[in-house]
Amino acid sequence: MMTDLVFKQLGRHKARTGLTVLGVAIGILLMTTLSSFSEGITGRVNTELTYLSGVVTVTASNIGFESFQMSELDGSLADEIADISGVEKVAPIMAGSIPGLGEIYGAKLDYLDVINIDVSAKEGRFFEDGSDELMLGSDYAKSSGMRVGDEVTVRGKKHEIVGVLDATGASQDKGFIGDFGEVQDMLGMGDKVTLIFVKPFDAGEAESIARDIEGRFDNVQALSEKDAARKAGDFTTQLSVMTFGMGSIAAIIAGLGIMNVMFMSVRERRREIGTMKALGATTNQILGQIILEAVLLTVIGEVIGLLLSMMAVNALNSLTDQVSATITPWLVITVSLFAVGLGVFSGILPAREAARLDPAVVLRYE
Amino acid sequence: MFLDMSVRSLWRHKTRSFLTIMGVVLAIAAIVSLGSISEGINGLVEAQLKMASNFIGVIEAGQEATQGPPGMYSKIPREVADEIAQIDGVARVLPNIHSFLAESNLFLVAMPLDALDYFNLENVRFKEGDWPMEGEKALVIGFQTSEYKGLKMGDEINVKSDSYVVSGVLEELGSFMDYAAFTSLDAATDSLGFEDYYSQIVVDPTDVADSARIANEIEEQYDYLEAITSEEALQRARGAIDSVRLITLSIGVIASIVASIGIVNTMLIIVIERRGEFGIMKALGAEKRVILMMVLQEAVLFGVVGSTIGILVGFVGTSALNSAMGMPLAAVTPTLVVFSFMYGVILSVLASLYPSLQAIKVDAAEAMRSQT
Repeated sequence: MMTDLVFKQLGRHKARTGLTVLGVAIGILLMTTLSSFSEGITGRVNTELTYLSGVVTVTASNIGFESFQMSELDGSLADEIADISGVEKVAPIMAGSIPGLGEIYGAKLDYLDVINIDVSAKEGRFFEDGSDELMLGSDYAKSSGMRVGDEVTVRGKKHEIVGVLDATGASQDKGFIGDFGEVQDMLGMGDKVTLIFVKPFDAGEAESIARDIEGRFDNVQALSEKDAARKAGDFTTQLSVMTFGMGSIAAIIAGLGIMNVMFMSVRERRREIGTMKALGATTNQILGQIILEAVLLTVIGEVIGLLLSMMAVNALNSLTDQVSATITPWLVITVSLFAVGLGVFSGILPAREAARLDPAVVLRYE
Repeated sequence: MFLDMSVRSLWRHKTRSFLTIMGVVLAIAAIVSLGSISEGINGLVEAQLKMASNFIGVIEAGQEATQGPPGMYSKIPREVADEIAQIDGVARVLPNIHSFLAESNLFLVAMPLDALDYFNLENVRFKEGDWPMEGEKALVIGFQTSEYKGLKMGDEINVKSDSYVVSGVLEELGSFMDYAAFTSLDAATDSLGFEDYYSQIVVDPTDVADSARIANEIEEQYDYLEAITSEEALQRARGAIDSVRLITLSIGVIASIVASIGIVNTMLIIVIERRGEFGIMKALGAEKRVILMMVLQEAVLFGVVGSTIGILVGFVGTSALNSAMGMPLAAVTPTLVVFSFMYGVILSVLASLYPSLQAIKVDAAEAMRSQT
């Protein structure tokens, strides 16, 4: 019953309502689109974490989750860690960027199981250990337009592309994958290693093995699955707070606009509200109606903003031929809650003013 | 002339004016504090390239500034440096090693200390201490490194497994060097295990006019190297800064569009409320121009007050950003202040154009008749 009234009220001032809703829509569009990028990155990080279950990740000290490519360890470290009791297997990994080509990852096939990667070649076949063959990550294959049979030349040496890896959702989708030693040479890394994955016999011992490694070697950090999740969480939280913060500015400004419109609307409707009160409407009913009006404005704006943002994100992703931004259900829920909150925030002061109106005073001037 | 009238009219509706101005404040504050990022970096880059001009920087291709400081991952075999020195027109070749010390979060630059003149560093003043000896395990730190990381003379910093002592603190240069640490080429070669490589080589041409030809020759001869003249370096840096500027500015611009929607709304209501007033003025012979000016003046007032407060809030936002980053990289420049102010005022005026046209259209007779 009250909802009818609310709709009628909003329809009364079409220009004003339209402009206000437009403001909210623009604000939500910016907010959702910015956040969709951090959601995309968070998604990739979380997928990467699933490969690390029960595994200890060893890098140079003070390397963050986003900068693991900067880590550099001595090649001999892998063997030394392999000798620690409780360690079943070690997987030294190379990661870096090749001039003019992009990211590249190196590993040996016989220890890929350490990081729970159980994928097949989508096209062609896997590279052979010790060979100079390369595979393409699935995203990279799409964005670069390279295909099986192509050759790339790095430091004067030709490398044949023999396959495309299935999508893994992790970093290697966006680059080349090849034999450990070969990639080491391609990167000019001497006998250095970027990081080492360590698989304990008993996953429950990962924590103590990590501490053991850090105690034994200088300038090395060893992260158990839990540590890695915490580090990744720090990074993704920081990222989402930043994008959400920047994105919410416009929406908050739109909220101020709504508050303004609601104040004006309450003042214009003093007599109407007075009559309602005189006819027995309770304070809570009046409060409720005004807040509902404000919330309706933000929610309509939010829906429009969300739809526009989905179109924008789709366009961006198809333009770059990668899924770098995603609008997750979680993001939709967050933005919707934000919109409702914004409506309540901008409606509450005008509603209080309306609820405080004295029918006797207001109606005296009739 | 109508200024007191405008102020009074705004004051009469405090809540409404306050909310509208708050919108402008937030939008301008966003433009200032987000814009300060690109402005700050821009200042550092320009200062940096002014210090080291007329050179050709050679790094591994594809290893430029996209992933951090230039040349961080680049590796050039030492014998290639000797070969380049033999190229016709090359006066000298100055190698350096760049590294990121993850543990202390420091960017380390190592160079031959007998060639400081080339990097325009021979006249740099020290706040304390001096350059170390070639090969000595000691570091000189930039001004901001000392300020923000709290490092001082005598502190020890690990370079891989060697411990280095801080032997000097530079005075502020206003360039990226303020954020770095410096040591000698020999010391870094040893500690970082760089016996066979350099990160970057700087080529000093006998004749500056020859730079482009020498750069071309190097790139042709070594397909995995990239030779960048200082002019090119400046252009690239500007391109990178422009994209940061574009992103930050668009966020600010979108926020300001929403704020201007608020202004349109408020001004429309002001015009409707004061129909009677405008009607009387018209009846008394006021020209359209006068009424237009009256309405626009209120809009300008929104813009001026909102932008001024917004710029002040922007300063606060910038210092918050800087302390969050742990380095004063963002800077509010005079250009940014002037731009934001003008932008805020012009936006307010533009947003009021439609409402003020509505004010002009008010029909005197009708407006006065409907007033009860």
